[in-house]
Amino acid sequence: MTASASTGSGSADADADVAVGDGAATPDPTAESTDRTVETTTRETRRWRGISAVALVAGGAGIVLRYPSLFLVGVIGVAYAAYARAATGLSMSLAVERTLSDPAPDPGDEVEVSVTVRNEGESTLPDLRLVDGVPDPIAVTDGVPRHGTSLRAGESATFEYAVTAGRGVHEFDRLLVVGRGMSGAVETRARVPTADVLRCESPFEPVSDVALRALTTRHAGRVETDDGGEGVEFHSTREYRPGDAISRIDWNRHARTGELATLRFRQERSATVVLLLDVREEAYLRPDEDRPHAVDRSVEAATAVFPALLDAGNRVGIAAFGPTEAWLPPGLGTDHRARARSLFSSHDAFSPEAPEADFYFNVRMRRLRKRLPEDAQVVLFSPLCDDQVARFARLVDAHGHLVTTVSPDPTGDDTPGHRLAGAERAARITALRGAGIRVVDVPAETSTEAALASTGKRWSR
Amino acid sequence: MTDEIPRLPSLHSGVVAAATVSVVTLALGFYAAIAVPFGVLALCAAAVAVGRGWRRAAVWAGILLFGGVVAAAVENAPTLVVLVGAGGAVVVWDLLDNAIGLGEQLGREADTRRTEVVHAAGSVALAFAVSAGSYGLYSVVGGGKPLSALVFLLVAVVALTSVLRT
Amino acid sequence: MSRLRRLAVAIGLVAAGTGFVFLLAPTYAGYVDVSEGFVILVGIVALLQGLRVVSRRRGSSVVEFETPDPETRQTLPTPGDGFDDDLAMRRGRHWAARRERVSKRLEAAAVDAVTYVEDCSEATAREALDAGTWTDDPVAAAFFADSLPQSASLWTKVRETVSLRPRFDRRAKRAARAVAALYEVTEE
Repeated sequence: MTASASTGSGSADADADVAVGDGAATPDPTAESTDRTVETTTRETRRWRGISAVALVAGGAGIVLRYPSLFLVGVIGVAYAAYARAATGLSMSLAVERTLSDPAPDPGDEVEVSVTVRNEGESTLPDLRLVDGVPDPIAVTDGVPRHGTSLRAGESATFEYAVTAGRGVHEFDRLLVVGRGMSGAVETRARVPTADVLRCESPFEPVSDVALRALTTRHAGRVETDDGGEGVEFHSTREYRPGDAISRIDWNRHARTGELATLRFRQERSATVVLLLDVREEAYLRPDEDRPHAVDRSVEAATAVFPALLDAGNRVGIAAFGPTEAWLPPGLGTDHRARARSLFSSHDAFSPEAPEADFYFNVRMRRLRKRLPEDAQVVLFSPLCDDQVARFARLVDAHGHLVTTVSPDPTGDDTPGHRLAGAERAARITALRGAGIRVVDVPAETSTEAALASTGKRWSR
Repeated sequence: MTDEIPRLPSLHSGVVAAATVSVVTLALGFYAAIAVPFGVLALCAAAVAVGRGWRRAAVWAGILLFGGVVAAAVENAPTLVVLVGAGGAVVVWDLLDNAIGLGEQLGREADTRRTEVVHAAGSVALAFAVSAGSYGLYSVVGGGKPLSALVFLLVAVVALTSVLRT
Repeated sequence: MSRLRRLAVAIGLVAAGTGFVFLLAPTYAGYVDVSEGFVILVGIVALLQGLRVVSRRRGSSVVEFETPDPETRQTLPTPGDGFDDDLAMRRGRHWAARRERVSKRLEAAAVDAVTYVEDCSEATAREALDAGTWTDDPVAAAFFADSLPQSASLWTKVRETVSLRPRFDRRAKRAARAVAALYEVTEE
């Protein structure tokens, strides 16, 4: 009992025309792909079981006690038993259209979703129960993505709800339809495929220079060296040696004194920075259900830091510290920026949902060590709520990489346990700072920009 | 944001079911006072069914109201009232059970009025049609009802229900 | 369909036909005489069948398709949930182990906090915990010192004795808050 969905009028991608039911629909050979197939299941609900007892008890009692009215009640029992027995599976033919008020919102934006279901079949569908396939990581913030209705042939029903967009590319799941006849004795379930996608990408807006200073005072940017050589800023002059570029000869001096001297400029060297995001299951923490979790906040911070570092002339790479591997080698340029952007919004490692795969610390650590360029500095994004990640930061530091930690605070203060965890995190931060690792604490409700800026100011003082 | 949606029965059907219980109880009580306590208990069971979403409470609401109908029939209440009461008992259970099913699948917050109305209309129409039909037949045939006819009909019901499993 | 069921259907249809004929044309009914005993027998069979149907209903349950909760997100923990859960547990198999875990965790956190705030050695911090001098909250201090400090007010002592909540829970919660307070004061 499976029928294919055929794309309807071909007007919009989001439209799904389906026909399901026993033989009511002929499978369409032009159906696009297998996952646009409607799965249907029909079964008895057994809710009317026992209704014939009304007929038997009333009839039996009526005849034994000689009460004609009681005997007549038996007729009602017979009628309902027949009503239930007569039910058959529905043949549903539905067209589903879903409209999103904004298919490409920014994270945190509210998107209105409107679903219209039209009965394309010949017969009335008396009882339709619809549950929309809202993507899992997205929360419905207004309205209900469920609807109960009944549709005559050609009639349509619409229901609306609003979701708050979260980072990522979210594909809407099939619309679940449970159809029943009048009596509800038989139920038919269909899962109608749709093709709607909510594409929610981080804006990738760089943090300001002031904020970046928290990361660059010691770290990156155009790291100025005290070595004279090629560059822009004047450093010193020295005696001309054969082989020096003509452009670097101090011609003024030559005109004045006749000597040949070579100009030396302050040498500049771009730094290599790797953004390391803690995406272990242990990092998926939030103070309460209404606020974003630490990994979302880490990614948000990383997507602001990444372009800023890149703009400042650094080679920037990305790595995930979690069960799923993600690695973007340090690089420069527009293409690199685009690659980073798509990595952040759609790579599995940075999923808005906590991973279920096992995480092997030592394996991941070894691979990272191999990959990190020797001179790479590391910016670690982690809520710092367990000792493993603190150990990790120290190990990376011990391997000779400068480590700065940006830590979104996911602790709450409503229960003793939450407060204690806050204290433990504070102790962990203190210990890291004691070991020479910089930690930028980003409290809840504070933007990365603000947290970095205030830390940067403190450090530069 | 809650972790679970409240999967409780929709209130509209519950209100209609409660109204049906009340009307049937009043009608039966008018002829046989003994039906009233059954009706009151049925109302309580209906309230539990709607409040908690317990299917068993919905079944009890139907059974209690049916008990009231049987009691009224024994007290020689008019045949039409008994028939309507019996239909009402089935309708009450059907409405409550349907509301619970809707609640489990869609939750109380979802808009389900239309399907509830259609379902209730079907159930009520059947009750009225069958009551009126059988009462009409009963009146037409009048006093000449031979007992043997009824016995054969009951035999038919027993034999067929044992096969149909409803 | 088994032979027995086919027979039942045949009997049912014949009986129904006969019943309707008799009902509409009562004159034919005169040919068949039903005795009182037969009527009662049929009635009782009907009632028994009714009981059987009811008991079968009791044994089966309504089957409906279940629907998912698409509107909800994955539930994620808040740091410290484990501590609260351990405390909330009053009895059960791992009760003692959980209690032990709560104590150990609190002690480690308190030692860290005191060494940081007082800038002292771990040994000194432990002494402060044992003496109950690390916090102003007498109930929190009593978690590590095992008794209320002498300085506790009479009111506190009375409340400690009268309170219905288990002493361990109450003190553990207050100690957790006191440890957190140590950081909040100094973080500014």
